[in-house]
Amino acid sequence: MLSKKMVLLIGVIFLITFNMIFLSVTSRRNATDGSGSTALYIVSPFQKALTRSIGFVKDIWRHYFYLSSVSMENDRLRKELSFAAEKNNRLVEAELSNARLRNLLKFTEKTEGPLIAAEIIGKDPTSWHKTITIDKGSDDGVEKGDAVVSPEGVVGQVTDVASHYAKALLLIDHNSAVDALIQNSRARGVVHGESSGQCALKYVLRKHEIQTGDTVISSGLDGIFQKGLRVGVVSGVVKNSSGMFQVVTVKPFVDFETLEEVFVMARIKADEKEDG
Amino acid sequence: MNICFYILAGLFLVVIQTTIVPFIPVPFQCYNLVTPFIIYVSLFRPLREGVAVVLLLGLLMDNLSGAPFGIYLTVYFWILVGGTFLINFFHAGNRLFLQLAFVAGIALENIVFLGTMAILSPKSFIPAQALHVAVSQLIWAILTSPIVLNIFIRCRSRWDSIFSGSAAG
Repeated sequence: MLSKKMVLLIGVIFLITFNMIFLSVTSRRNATDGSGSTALYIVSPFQKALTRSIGFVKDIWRHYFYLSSVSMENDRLRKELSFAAEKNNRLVEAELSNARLRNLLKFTEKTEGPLIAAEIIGKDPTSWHKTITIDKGSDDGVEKGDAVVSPEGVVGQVTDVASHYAKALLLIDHNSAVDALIQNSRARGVVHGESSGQCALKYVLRKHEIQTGDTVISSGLDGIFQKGLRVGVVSGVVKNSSGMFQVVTVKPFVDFETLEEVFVMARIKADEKEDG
Repeated sequence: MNICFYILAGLFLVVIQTTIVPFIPVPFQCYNLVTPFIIYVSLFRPLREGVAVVLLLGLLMDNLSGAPFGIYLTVYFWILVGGTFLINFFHAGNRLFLQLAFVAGIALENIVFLGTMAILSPKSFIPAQALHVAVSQLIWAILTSPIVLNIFIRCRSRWDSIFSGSAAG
């Protein structure tokens, strides 16, 4: 017969093994079992109330006590600048597309889906993972898998949706992946999040000449992000002596620390793509 | 009333953890605020209350986080098991023991998170600033453990005195 201590030890070993297998399985899938929307439903109203209160106090401080007029003008100019940067990027992209497709008879315009403006009301409870909670959900037209963007560029992707709230995985999370292009050279790769708040453009062939400062845009091939959205700027390129690919570091255009508002873009659906 | 206390305290900590803490710069960012509450429950409250709190807050945190589902349940479960086991051998009033238990709980959380990322996830990966963040959290734990546990104990006794008083009246 086994002693009491032995039974306890076997029990603990069994529990640890079961626990490791469970975590191993769940770490291979991002989606939760649907109870995620319940958690969002319970917690998000409080997050929203607190975020609004903090925002209110911050606004009073920023606009009334701390050089009110300068701050407001600064806000306006920043907004204008970010819209101008986005517009400029669209023009550059349109010019390049035009040059490439000049000889083609048909030019298909980019599909522009409806944008849903949302406010960030919460962030991931751990610093190891990068997600946000936004104040728009299925009742507002947000669906799981929708792209999340800001005027500065790609923000992330919706992973969980409740009726009035949604959770989005950020571009800088290590589970995130966006199919992307270098705007000038058209070299293709996949942007993965890194822990440092930067991203890595992986699977870029060594034959492509990539320079620091090159703009990285979404390719549209992942069926989530529309083609031509700004992702980031190349901050480093390393060509190892061996291997098929080069190591490209990308600094996202979006400042995730100060991000407060985002837009949710409806996903490019296969049937719509065919129609387009 | 027990349930109300745990729901309110847990919800308060989760909301603070997801709205205010992420905006604090990393060098000043302390540990996950829900973890000390689990340590408090495991050391000072009956096991059945601990199980309920672990399930409630574990599921809530798992669903709000981008981490693999079940990771918070795992951390909180093992903190509860460890706390319940250790309290058989040590006195809960011993300050050094409380400080050690607190730091061990925070360390366990970091080990499980980093272990999952490094070993169990398909993209084996350890964040560059992992050591820095973990050490910073442990220092915060050493410095704040007596205060934080004391706050929980006082809140609980205040809650009990208010509601037992009103019940008696």
